[in-house]
Amino acid sequence: MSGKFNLTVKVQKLLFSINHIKVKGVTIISYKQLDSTNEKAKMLIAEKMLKDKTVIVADEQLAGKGQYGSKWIAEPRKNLLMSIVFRPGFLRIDQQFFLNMAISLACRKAINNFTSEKVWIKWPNDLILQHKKIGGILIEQMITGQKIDYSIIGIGINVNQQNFPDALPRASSLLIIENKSFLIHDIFHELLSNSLNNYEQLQAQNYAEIKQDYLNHLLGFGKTQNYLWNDKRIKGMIEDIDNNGKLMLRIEDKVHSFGLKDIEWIPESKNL
Amino acid sequence: MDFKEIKELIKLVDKSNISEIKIRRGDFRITLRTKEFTEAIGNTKTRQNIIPISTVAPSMAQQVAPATPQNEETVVKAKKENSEDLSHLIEVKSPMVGTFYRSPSPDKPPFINVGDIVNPGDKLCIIEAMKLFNEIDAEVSGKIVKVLIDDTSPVEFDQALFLIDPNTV
Repeated sequence: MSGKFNLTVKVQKLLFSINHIKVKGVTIISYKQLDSTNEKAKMLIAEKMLKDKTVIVADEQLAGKGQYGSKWIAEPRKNLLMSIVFRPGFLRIDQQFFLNMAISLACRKAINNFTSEKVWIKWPNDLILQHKKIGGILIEQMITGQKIDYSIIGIGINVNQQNFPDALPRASSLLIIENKSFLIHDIFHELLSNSLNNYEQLQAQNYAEIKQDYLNHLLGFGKTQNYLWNDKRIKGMIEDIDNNGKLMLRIEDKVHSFGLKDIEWIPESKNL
Repeated sequence: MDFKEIKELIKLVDKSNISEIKIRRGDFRITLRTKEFTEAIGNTKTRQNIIPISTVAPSMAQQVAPATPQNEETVVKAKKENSEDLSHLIEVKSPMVGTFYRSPSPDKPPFINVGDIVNPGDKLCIIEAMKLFNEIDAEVSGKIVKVLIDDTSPVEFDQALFLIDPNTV
């Protein structure tokens, strides 16, 4: 049995909630249950069965992934769990943060179609609605030499989940905030089309626009907020993001640049 | 870098397999070379095991100034063990600034260990840059002879990560 045949069988048998959605030039593979959509993408890449612009979506993840070693927990069939795989050979490694910005913006815009409140991006790529995290992005890439071979963009959006573990006080869902349930495939469709649009923007090298758009939707941009820096509470204002994605923070009369572990934002709301 | 830190560094270099280390933080520069290194380059005049040379920045201000990763340059060269010619070894360099991880997650074993044979496409490590997790693939076949960076350490662009011996395949 050839590898390609295998894939066809999977597509036909396991298409579940997303099976009626067709997008030109995009392969959509849907599963009832996976360990993780990102891990599935990696397996398919290793088997050389994955084309550019492949989307993997699961109704349930048994071992959803967050940042290095952490978990993404979501109740089955209530949330959008997907990975989009791109082969951005055109993108230089030192420009990879633009991919993060483009995708964060796509998710933000997609979710904003389902709520009257503004959806924000929390640096670098959390999705925030009413001070709560309603979605996250995990980008994993395969690098050979100086080239990005594959970008696996894992996206988790909390849609119809009613309850969250006590350990996740900042988590919420569209259902909790809007007080109604949503069709997951509507959000999927919105998210995919926005991601493809923004990816085209990236291909067209509209970097300045992407960055401006990102800053316009970045939580805390241009506002004085409290941060924790070297165990000290300070007031700072996000002035810019450099091309590597570092936060350019104005503290008193100087602008400092910060990586992820260098600084912590202290939210005003205790819920965040 | 103060005297205590330099002392610590000398101890570290002495115990490690590193034969030469250069560190630059702003105006401060230091180079440490082991006996093996100087022998390998044919300098027979030096007899100490470790020879701190180059300039050490004089001001006290420098000693207390916090080191910023951007200004820090670390160059590590492989030890010339048994004075055999190691010039054929291939350095795998970091394609970006980030954090170096040896395993796919904290509870998993490293992607590769010293002595492993790798082939093009095999995963060597992860470098995380601003929450983008980059799996670095091998470009050549060979045996891993050295892992030059500690797990979860920061790496600079172009910094050597691994040494691969292509002649063992």
